[in-house]
Amino acid sequence: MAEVTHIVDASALIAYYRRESGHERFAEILRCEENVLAMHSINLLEVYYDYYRSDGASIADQVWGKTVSFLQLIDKLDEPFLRIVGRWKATEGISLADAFAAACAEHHAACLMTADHKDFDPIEKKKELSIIWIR
Amino acid sequence: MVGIEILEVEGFRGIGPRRVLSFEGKSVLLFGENGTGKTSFVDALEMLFTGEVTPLERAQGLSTSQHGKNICRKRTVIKATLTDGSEVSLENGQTPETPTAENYLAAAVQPRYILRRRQILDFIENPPKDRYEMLEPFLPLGEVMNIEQALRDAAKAAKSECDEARERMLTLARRIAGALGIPTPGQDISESTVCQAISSLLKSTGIGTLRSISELETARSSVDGKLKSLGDFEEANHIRNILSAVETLIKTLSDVHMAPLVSPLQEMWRFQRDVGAAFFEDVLERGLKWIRAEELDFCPLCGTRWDTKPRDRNALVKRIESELREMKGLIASRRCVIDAQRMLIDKINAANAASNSLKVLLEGLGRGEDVSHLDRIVASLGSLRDITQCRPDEMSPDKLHVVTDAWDDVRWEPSLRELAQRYEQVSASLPKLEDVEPLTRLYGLLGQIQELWGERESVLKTLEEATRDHEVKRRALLRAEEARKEVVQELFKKLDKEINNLYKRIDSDPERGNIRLELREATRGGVRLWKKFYDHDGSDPRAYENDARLDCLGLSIFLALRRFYRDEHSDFNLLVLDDVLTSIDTQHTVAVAELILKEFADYQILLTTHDRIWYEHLRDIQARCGVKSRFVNKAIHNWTLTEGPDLSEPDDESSHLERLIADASSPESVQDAAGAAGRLLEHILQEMRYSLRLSVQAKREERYGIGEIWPSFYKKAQGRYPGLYQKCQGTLDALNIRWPIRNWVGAHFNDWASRVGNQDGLNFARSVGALFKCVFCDECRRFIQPSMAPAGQLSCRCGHLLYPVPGKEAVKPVSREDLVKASAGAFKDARLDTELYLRWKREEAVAESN
Repeated sequence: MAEVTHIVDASALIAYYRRESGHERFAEILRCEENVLAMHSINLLEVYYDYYRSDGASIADQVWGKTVSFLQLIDKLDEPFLRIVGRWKATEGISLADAFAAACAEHHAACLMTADHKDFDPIEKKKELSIIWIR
Repeated sequence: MVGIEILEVEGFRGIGPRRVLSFEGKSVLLFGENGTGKTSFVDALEMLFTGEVTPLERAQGLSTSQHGKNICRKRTVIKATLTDGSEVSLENGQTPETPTAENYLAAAVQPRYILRRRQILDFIENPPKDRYEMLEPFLPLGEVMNIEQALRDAAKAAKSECDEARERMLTLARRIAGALGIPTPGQDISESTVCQAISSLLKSTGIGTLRSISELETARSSVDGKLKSLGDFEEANHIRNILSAVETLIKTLSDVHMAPLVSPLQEMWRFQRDVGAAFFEDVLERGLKWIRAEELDFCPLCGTRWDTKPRDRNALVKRIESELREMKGLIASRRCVIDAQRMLIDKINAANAASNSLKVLLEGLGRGEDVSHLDRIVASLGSLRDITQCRPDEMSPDKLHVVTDAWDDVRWEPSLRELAQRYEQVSASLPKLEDVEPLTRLYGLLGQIQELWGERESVLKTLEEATRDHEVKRRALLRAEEARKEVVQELFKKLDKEINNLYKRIDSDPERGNIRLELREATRGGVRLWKKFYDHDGSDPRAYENDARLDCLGLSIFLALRRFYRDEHSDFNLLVLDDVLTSIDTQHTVAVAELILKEFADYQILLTTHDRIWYEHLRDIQARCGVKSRFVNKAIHNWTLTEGPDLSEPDDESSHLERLIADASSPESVQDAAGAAGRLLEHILQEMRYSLRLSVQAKREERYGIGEIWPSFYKKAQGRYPGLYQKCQGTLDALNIRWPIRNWVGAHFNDWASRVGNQDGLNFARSVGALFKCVFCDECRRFIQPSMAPAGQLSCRCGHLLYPVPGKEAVKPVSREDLVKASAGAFKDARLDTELYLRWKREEAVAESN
């Protein structure tokens, strides 16, 4: 149960917190004991500063605390890992945060949970990652 | 309410030595990997209550009697003790202590409460007829079915009577047609056809046509009248017989001549005169034969002994042979006489019989005919026979002359000729045979038709009555069937409601549902299964639904039926679900598990699973559904062919180990303690293998021992779970050195064991005991497992045992459901949503590219 099975990106987490369409799918995956959900600290950082900008420091801190209570936080930043991130960023033209999420999914051989079709549809078409669309 | 307290099984299916599954009157959640004997307990329950095991009986070539026994054991013992003290065993049968237990055991005879994984789709996949047969036992239709069956039997008997009468009708029609010479009818023969055929026969007689069979008697009388008008046919016939008898008598009397006898007699007398003495050739011939064959030394007639010399006997034989040669002529003439006598006697007898026959006919005519001349003939024939029957030696020429002369004086021929002439004259005035015969035949035919038609009328009446009777019974049966179908359909409505209620609890999709059972009108018993799928309301669920939903549907139907059965048998509360949850997909399993635990809380459930994750999950669900106290959770840790399933509890093993350590004073007792420690360590590592996802080298049948798991466990504790390692370092390091002791002392005897010191064995046992306390929580009775977050933390389910990552704050474990409750929509009122996030993200990307 300690092995990561799902990598969560910022869009999926925000949709879940906002109870937007697709949050049931997220909850369903979280509810299953077999699944271990994780997120890279860079992605959580992205969520944190966006909440900070929109809702203020207090909410952003709460979001951080809540998230680490049910997601495993990946803080891997070693050189081989960063090279993977760099490859994703360079070849797919995605944001740096998305490149971290993709690299985590690749590294852990896990599914990537997202709601961002614009950036991840081309990657799914190339079948480079296993993607779970929450909506 | 009674329930099962204890189930004891020995020598059945995968269970070898005696194993006790303790229900304690509660439900049991039984975990065991595939092939560890879970289903053997289910099979044992079914065997005990029903006398057979359904999967064995269903499989071709298998049977409970042949394949139920454990292959290593000769003796099979299955015994259940109920909560009221009642006992049921294969050997001793049932001893219910209370009426409730009696009802319980009576209801348990039908295996309507057991669902195995492979049976979950039975109802859906079966054809309509089989579905009905599956449902029938659940439906309270006992009396209705009895009435229907009685009517079915009555209708069948009535139909059989109709068929029999129809067959008899056909046989009679064929016989009538055959008698009248008309083509054989395919079915019945009509009255008009018969009348037409008879009319054509009557036409030649000039009697006229027959319009109906009722006129047959009249027609027959007319034919009779015609016959009578031809004269007294019987008298004519009698006279014809007399004439024939006279002819026969004349002929036989003509054959009676004495000449063939007289000639050989005279020849014989001549020989006798020449010999001048009596001669008995028979005596000589027989005596000769005796003397030769028997070598007698005495006379066979008088017994007088003669000279015993063979020479004298031979001389005697020669003398006899010579005598016989000399008398050869006499002997031949005697035989001619005898032959002539026999021939003459035969002729006399024939003439005598013809004479008597004629006499009877003449007297029978009743015309007072004088038969005295016939008496004279008979008397003369008698005298002739008397003399003819004498022995040839007793005959004399004088006697012969007297008899021959008397016979010549009879002068039988003129009187008989005169008699014949007289009756020929009478016969000429009587009706001729060729005129009478067609009418006689027609008369007989009409009589035969009259009789057959009468019989046909009687059969027709029987047929009409039987047809009416059959129709009444057939209609009554149809009404009964309709009534039964109405009742069944009403029951189905109730059942539909129950199935839909249960199914909705598993799958709440509004586009799916409206499950309906429908009785097929066309057949006696057939059930269609309908379900809504978007716009297709009333479609066969197999057409559109995936396997997962079909499984849910199958389970819903089974559970609904189980409730129906409970309605009929309220004292029987057993529900056995053998590994069915694992055939349902993960998405629905939680809902199914909650449904079973909540909706069937008043049942005693035996729920088995081979999925360790689900086993743990189900234990959480028990707590969430408030039924934890009603469950006994059991795990089968291991299975071997000789030992069967290992059901021992880890804390029992630990307590046992502690006692052994405390009592360890001799080398033997230390070995016992080390052995028990080895088994407990094996158990602990099996649990850790799952919960920590330890990597082990794959082995056939996935049976791993300490040697395979320990290195991986120790390494993972050191690397991935430093919190555990730091807290239990002493124990873990000690065991890392001592675990091979298990192989030396615990498993089986070997030379190494004798070299292991008492203290080493004891230390090993103590280390295992200490490890157990590190990894098993006394509070929640669970082994530790990785926390959801943060990574690297280990804890038991209740958080009593907690190994946080060094330097990080300990996080108390929370159930997944609680996590979802606490996090889903946690910031639903925040300004940030995915739309805003994605906008900012795009703006950043644009800024970055600029």
